[in-house]
Amino acid sequence: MIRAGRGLKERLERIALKVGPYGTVLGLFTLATVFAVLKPNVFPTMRNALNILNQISLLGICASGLTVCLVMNEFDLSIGAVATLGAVLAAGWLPNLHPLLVVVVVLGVCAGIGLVNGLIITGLRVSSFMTTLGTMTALTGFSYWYTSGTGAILYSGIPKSFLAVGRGTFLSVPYLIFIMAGVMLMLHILLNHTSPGRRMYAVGGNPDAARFTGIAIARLKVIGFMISGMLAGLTGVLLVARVGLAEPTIGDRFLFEAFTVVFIGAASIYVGRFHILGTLIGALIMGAIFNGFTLLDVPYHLQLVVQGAILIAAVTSAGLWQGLLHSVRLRTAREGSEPGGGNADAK
Amino acid sequence: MAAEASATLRLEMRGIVKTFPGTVACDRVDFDLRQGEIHALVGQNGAGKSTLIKVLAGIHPRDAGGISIEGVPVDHLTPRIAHDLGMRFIHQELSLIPQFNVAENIVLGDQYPLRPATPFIAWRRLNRRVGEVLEGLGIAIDPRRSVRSLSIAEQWTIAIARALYSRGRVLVMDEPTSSLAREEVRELFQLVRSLAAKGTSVIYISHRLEEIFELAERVTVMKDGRKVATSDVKGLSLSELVRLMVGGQPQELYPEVPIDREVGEAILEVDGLTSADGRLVDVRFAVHEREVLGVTGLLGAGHNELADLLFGAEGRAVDGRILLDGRPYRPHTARRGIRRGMGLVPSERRSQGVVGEMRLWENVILAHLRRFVIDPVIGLVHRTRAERATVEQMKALRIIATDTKQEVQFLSGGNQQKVVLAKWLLRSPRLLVLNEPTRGIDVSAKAEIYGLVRQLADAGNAILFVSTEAEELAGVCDRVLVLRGGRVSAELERGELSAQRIMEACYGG
Amino acid sequence: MPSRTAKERWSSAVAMLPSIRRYGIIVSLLLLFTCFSVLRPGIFPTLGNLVSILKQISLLGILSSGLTVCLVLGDFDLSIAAVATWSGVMVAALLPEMSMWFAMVLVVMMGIGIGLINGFFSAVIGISPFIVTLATQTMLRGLTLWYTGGYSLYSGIPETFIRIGRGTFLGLPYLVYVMLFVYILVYIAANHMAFGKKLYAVGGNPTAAKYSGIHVIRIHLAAFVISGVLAALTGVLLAARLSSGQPRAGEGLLLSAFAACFLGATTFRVGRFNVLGTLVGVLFIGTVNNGLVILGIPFYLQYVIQGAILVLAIAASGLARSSLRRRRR
Repeated sequence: MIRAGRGLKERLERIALKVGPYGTVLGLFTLATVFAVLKPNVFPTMRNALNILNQISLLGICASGLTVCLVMNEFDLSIGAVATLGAVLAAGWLPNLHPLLVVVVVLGVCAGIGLVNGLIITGLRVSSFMTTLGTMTALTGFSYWYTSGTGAILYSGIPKSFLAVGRGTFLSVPYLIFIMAGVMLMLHILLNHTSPGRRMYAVGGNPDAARFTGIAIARLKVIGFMISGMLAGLTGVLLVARVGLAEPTIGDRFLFEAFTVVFIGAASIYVGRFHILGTLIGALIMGAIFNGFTLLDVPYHLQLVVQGAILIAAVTSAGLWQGLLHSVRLRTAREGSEPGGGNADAK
Repeated sequence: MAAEASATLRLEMRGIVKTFPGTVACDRVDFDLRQGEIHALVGQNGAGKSTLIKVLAGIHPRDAGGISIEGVPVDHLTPRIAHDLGMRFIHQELSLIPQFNVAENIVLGDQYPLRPATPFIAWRRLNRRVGEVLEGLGIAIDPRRSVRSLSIAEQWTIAIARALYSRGRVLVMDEPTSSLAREEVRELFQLVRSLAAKGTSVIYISHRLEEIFELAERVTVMKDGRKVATSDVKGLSLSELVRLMVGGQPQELYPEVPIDREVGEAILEVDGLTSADGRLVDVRFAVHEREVLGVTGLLGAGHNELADLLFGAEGRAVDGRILLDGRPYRPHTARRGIRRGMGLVPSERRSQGVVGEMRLWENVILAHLRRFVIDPVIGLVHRTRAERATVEQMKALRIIATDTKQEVQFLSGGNQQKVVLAKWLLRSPRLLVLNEPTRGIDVSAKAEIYGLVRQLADAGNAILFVSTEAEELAGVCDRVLVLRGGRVSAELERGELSAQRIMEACYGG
Repeated sequence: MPSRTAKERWSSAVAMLPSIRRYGIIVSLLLLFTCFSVLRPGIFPTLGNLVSILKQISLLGILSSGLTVCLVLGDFDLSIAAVATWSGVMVAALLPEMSMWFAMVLVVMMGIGIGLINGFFSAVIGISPFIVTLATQTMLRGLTLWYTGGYSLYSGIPETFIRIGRGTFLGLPYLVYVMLFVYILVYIAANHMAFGKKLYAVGGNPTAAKYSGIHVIRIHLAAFVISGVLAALTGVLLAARLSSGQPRAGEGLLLSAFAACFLGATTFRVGRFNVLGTLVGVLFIGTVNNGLVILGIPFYLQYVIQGAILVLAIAASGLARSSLRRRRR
C-alpha cells in the first residue's frame, strides 16, 4: 500500500528538501535586506555593490583555485603562503623588469609549487593536508628571507601602469572584478564542460570507480594543485597591483577565508558538491558581511566571529539536508517497491 | 571441430593458480567463454569465484596459469589492460558517480564527444548517443536523469549500458539480482539475452540457481578453489547441480554431534520480528542453552541482517518481541547488546572484527576492559592480568602468533577470527552470534573453529550460527533455521540435517 | 666457508630498514646534535643551552601532546593555537579580579567547553573536524581581537603568576617540569589506561571498536576536550611567561604542533601518532631552531627548513605506511 505523503511532517519535509539548497542564497538576500534597511542611503547603491565585488575579487580568484582541488577531495593549505610569495616576488621584480614578464614568471613559479605539491601527494601517496602544510611553512620562510628577513614592506618602484590594473576601472567597473569574473567563468567551464573537469568530479565522487575506468587520477590531481597554486599566485600579484606594496603576511588571511567561502559554497544549490557558483555565493556572503558591518561600524573582530558562525551554520544545515534527503529516499524506495529481494514468489 | 570451437573462444583461462598466505584461493582452475555465450559461475562462499574474477580483472596477479583473450595470450594483466581488452565488471557495490546523471555515468571511462575544434563537451551529441545506446538495449531511461533517483534495478541497467557504450565484449555480472523484484529480474534477463544475441559474452555469477537455469547456457561449478565441473545447463537438474556444488566433504572436518542432545532453557526467544528495511518479516524462533542454532538462506534472505540486528550493530526492528534470558530486549546499540550478554563475531573480520594495528592482547581484552584495570576510576590497565588471560585464550583456542604482543593484522585469517572469538569468550556471553565465521579461512582453521563451537555449546553457551555454507551448518548445528525473503521458511532438526536438504530448503524445496 | 651471496646480504640489509627507519628521527636528532656541537663547540653543547632548548619547547610540547590525542582518531584540531591565545588573554583579564588559581582553573574549564563544542559538532552532528575547528578558531580569533582591541593585557598580573613562567627549580624552569608532567600523564593515558586502548581502537577501526562496546562518540568528545584543555593550559602558561595576555601569542604554534606530531608518527610505532614520538618531534624542532639561531641563521630560514623537514617527515611516514601495507595479509 503506497501512500503519498500527506501528513504535516511529510509536507514540511518536502518544503525543506526543496528550499534547503537555496538556504545560503536566502541568507545572502536576508543579509542584504537587513543592511539595506539599516543603511538605506549607502548600502543598496550600485557603487556599493561594485565595492563589494571589488573587495571579494581577490578572494574569489583564490577560492576558485582551491575549489578545483577540493572537487577531488584534496586540501591545499599552501594557498595563503603562495599568495604571499606571489606578492613578494612581484613587488621585488617589478621595479626592474617589464610587468608582463614579471607576471608570467611569478605565475609560472606558483604553478611550479603546485606541481611539487601534486607530485609529492600523488607520488608518495601522502596526505595533502600535511604536505601543503609543509610547503606553506617553507614558503613563508622564503618570503621572509626575500624581504630581507625583517618583514620589510616592498613598495618602491612599482610602475604606475601596474597599479592601474589594481585600481583602474572600465565603464566604471574595476578591472579586478572583470578578472575575477573571467577566472570564475573559465573554471566553471572547465569543471562543467570539459572532459578533464568532469573527470575531476568523477575522481572526487567515487575514486574507486574512477580508478577502474582508467581515469588518470594522479595527473588530474597534479593539474588541480597547479591551478590552485597559479591562481593563488595571481591573487598575490593582483594584491600588489591594488595596494601597491607587499609584506610577508599579506596573503595569510586568504587561507582561512578561501576555505570558509568554498565550504559555504558546498552547502549551496548543489549541496554536497564543491562548485564555482557556490564559491561565488560564499564570497558574496563574506563580502556583504564585511561591507555591511563596516558601514555599521561593527569592529572587524566581530566579523570574524560571524564568519565562523555562518560557516558552521551552513555546513551543519547542508549535512542535515543531505541526511533528510537520504532518509526520505530510503522511505519512498521502500514504500514504492516490494521489500527484500527473495520474496519474488509472493508477487 | 576442435579448431572451430577454439576459434570462437572469447576468453580462455587455463590452470589458474592464485594463493594467499594460508589459503589456495584458485587451484589450477580452467574456464573458457565463447562468443555470445551466457556462462554461469557458481559455488559456495569461499569457493574461489571472486578470486578468479579478480585475477581476470587484473586486480590480483596470478601465480600460475595462462589467460588468452580472443586467442591472444595475455601475460601481464592490470585493470587498465583488462578494460582495454574489452572486459567489463559489474558488481554489487555499483561504481556509479552519484553526482552525475545517467549520460555521464554511461560515458565514464570512455571519451566525451567534443564540439569540433574545441575542448568543450558536446552535451547534445552525448545525450543523443547515450539515448541511442539505451534505446538499442530497450531501456527507457532519460539520459539526463540523476543516478541518485534511480532504483537499484535501473542502476544495474545503467552499469550494463556503460559497459556496452565503451564497446565491452565480456560482461562479468556479480550477483545482480539480490535486490531486485521478480519483474525487474525478468527485464534484466531480457536485456542480457539480447546482448548475448548480438555477440557480447556474459559471465554470470549468482547464488540463485533457478536463475542459472533460466538464463545461462553453460555453468561452471567451483568448490574449495577447484573447478569441479563445466556443464551445459540443458539437461542438468537442480539437485544434480546442488550435488556438484556441495560435493563430498571429509567427515573429519566436523565434530560428532549426537542426535538426541539435551539442550537447556531458552536463552533467546524471538517472535514476530520485523525489521525497518523489510529484510526480516515476522521471524519467530528460539535459541537454547547448549545449543547451536544455524540460520541460513540465499544471499539477501535476511540471515546476516538478523545477526547484526539482534546484536544491535545494524538495522532496526519495527515489530516483534524479543526475550533475552526471560527479560524483554530491544536491540538498539552494540553496547546494549553486549551489556545484555551478547557477543557478535561479525561477517567482515578485517573491517569490523579486529583492530589490525593493535596487539593481540589488546584486541582480546577490548570488549571487557573493565575487568582488566587496576582500579575503576583511573582505568590503568592491569597488564599482567590481561596477558595471562590472553595466553589462556591462545592455548584454549590454539591461536598461533609470535606472542601476545604481535599486531593482529599480521595473523592469518583463521587466527584473527579466533582472536575475535577469544574477545567474547572472556565475557562469557549468554548468546554468541557468529556471522559467517569461517569465511575466507583455510580448511584446517575451519575444522578448529567447528570444534570450538561444539565445545562452547557443550560448556553451556547458546550459539547462533549464521552462515550461507550449507555443509558447515549441517556439520555443526543442532538445528537449522532457513530464511526465505525475510521469513522463516523451514526449521530442520538434527536428524534431517544434510547439506543437500538445507540447500533445497533455501530454494523452497 | 660458504660466503653469503650478494643478494642475501642485500635482502637482509633491506629487512633491517624498517627498524632503522623507526628510530630514524632519534638518529637524526643525535646527528643534528653532533653537527651543532661540532660547529659551535663552546655554545651549543652546554648545559645552559640544553636547558634553553627545553625551555623553548615546553609550551609547544604541551600543545602538541593534546593534538596527538586528536590525531590518533584522525581528528584535525585546527583550533589549538586560537584556544591558547584566547586562554592567555582570558587569564590575564581575570587575574586582577580573582585569586590566581581560580583564574587558571576557570580558563582551563573554558578549554573544556571549547573542546566539547568542537567534539559536538564533529562527532555528534557529523561535520568534518577540519571545518568545525576552522570555524571555532576563526571565531576565537575574532573574540580575542575584539576583547583586547589589539592590545596586550598586562596590568594586575600578580608576581606569583609571573614566577610560574620565569622561575626555576634545580636549574630547570618550572615550565619544563610542567611539560614533563603533562607528557607523563598523557603517555600513561594513551598507553596504559583503558581510555588509551579505546582511543587507539576507535582510531584504528571505528567499526570494530563500536562492535566491541566502545562508545565511539564519547571517545571523540574526550579527545577534543583533552586537546582543548591542554591548549588552554598552554595559553595560561604562555601568559605567565610573557607576563601578559597577548592577542597574537599563539601564532606559529599551530604549524609547529602539527609538524611535531607528524614527525612523531614516524617514530616508535611507524605510521601512527604516539605521545613519545611527539615528544621526540618537539625536541627535534627545538634543537633545529636552537642550532640555527646559534649558527646565526635568520629565523625565516628556520621556517624554510622546518617546512622542508615536515615534508620529508611526511614522505617518510608515507613510505613507511606503504611498506606496512605490503606486509599485511
